[in-house]
Amino acid sequence: MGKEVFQTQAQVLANEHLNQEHRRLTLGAPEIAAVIRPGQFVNVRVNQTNDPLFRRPFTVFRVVDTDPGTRAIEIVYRVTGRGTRTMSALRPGQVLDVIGPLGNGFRWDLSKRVQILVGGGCGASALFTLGRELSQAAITGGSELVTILGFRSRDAVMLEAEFRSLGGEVILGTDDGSYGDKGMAVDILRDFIGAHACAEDCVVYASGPQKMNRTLAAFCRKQGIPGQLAMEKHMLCGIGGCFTCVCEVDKAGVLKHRDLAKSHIQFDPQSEIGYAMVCQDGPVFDVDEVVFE
Amino acid sequence: MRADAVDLSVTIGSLRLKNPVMPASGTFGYGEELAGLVDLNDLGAILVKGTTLEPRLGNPPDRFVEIAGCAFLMYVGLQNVGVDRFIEEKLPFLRGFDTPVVVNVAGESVEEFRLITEALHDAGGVSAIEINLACPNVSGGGLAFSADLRAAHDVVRAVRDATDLTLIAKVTPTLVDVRTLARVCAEAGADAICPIWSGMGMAIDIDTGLSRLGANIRGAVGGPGLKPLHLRLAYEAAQAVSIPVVGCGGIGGWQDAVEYLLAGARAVQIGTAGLIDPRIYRETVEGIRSWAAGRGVSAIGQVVGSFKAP
Repeated sequence: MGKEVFQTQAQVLANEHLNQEHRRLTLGAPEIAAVIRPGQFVNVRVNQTNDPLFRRPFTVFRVVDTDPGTRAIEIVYRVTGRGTRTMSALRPGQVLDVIGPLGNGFRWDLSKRVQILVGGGCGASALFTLGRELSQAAITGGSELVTILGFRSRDAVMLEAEFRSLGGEVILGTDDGSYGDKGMAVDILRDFIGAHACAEDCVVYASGPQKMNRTLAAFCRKQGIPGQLAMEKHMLCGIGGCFTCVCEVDKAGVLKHRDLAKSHIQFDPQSEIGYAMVCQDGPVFDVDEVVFE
Repeated sequence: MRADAVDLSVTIGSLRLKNPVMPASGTFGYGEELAGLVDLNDLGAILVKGTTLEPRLGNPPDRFVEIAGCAFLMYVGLQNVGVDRFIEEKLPFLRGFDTPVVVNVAGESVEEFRLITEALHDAGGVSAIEINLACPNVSGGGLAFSADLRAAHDVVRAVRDATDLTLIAKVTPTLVDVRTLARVCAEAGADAICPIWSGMGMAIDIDTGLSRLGANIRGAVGGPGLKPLHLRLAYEAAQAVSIPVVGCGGIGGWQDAVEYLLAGARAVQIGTAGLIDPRIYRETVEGIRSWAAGRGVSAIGQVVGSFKAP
């Protein structure tokens, strides 16, 4: 591997509501905070019992410096199942076993003028540290950062101020039009690219629910727009040991971006479909790699 | 007695393990993936993924699902790079550790088992073969080799003839009595028996009506709740044969490992718990050591099978 990975006992520093169903967990994890890159994730053991049995993977929203002088990582999560329900009850001072950083993050391509982040719901949090990098590049290199965030409705909107702090254009939308533009994030992306005629000179970085990722990948492929997306998947070990967290990938797409000689991915000779490990080959994939059902 | 004075080494076939704790194949990748979190020198042995003659695609997603209340279903379908790439790309890294490498060999025919074994034998750096008798016997109608005593015998014999490396027969006594299966494998030349029940389960999402394992529908049931079943298998196997038994199934800490040793296992494999916490291997070794020291046991081999049956 050669990559640094840590198993650490991280103290809960904060665990706050962002809105009705989303929370932000702040964990003191200086070793991980020091080396984690945009799009990488951590695998969290939410308690020391057998229920839930396995760790839960989360991309890191951002790294922060805290009062006692600890570097901390922040995780944004939606309370949806047994793991996240357990997490929602965590109080400052409690300690969690965290492994990270894991996986391959985003690789930004500054050859394109318009750098577009597309986030859906909770997944948007995975784009923030990438946004910081791109915002810096926009200042020094003349590119332009655009952030498109889609939420279900007004009461699900979050992280708006944080993304606005990055500068550049920020477009918010809700599925029901109760806040910002009406429409899904990918609809907004389509309109933006159409209005600015920048299909030839943009690159997209996305993170959202499976449905958004699928629509976005189809759009980018059709338009020939380069893009990457962060896949979400339940995981066991998170480190490449068990080969369970796979997604379907297409051989032609994979060959464009990866050295097959170094990969575990095998391809069916007829369908040219293979199975990539989201934890080790991802969680960030190029839009032309992943095959969505 | 001082803990560091306890001799934890055990012997399986011609192999001397520095301690009786190893990961279970399929939960530890090729070793390299875990090397950032686990000191491979701490392990009794390194168990690598099930290895087939040709690379294998594996099953489509979803390959696992956690079941509330500490069980899970898993159906990877032996995705692996095949024996040639294993030898070329994975084995060189593993040779750098002072820990024996055990390769789980998975064939679809007696001939495939023989060919994979020969390749591994010739490669150098492999200390033992774990014969995966859970594989479907394609020429025998797809039933697992373990379900057919003749087929199980023929595989073990063919592998025995192909190598003098230590052989662990990983048997799935799901349809056949573990004692019979253990005897057949021992007679055919196995150096050790590792029984693992591989019952298949399923799970349905009641909101969508769909399988929670996607197209696979079925997956092997695993998790800590299966320990009592596997402990009984290890005990019965140890009663039936004089060759060592490797215990496997539901070990979640050193106490479970000690229980297996008492039941008659000479070594143990840790699966699920290692996926959850990679520190478990070392903690299990140290736990066994302290437990033994506390009882004045100078060599761990002395406790193997010391269960006080009524």
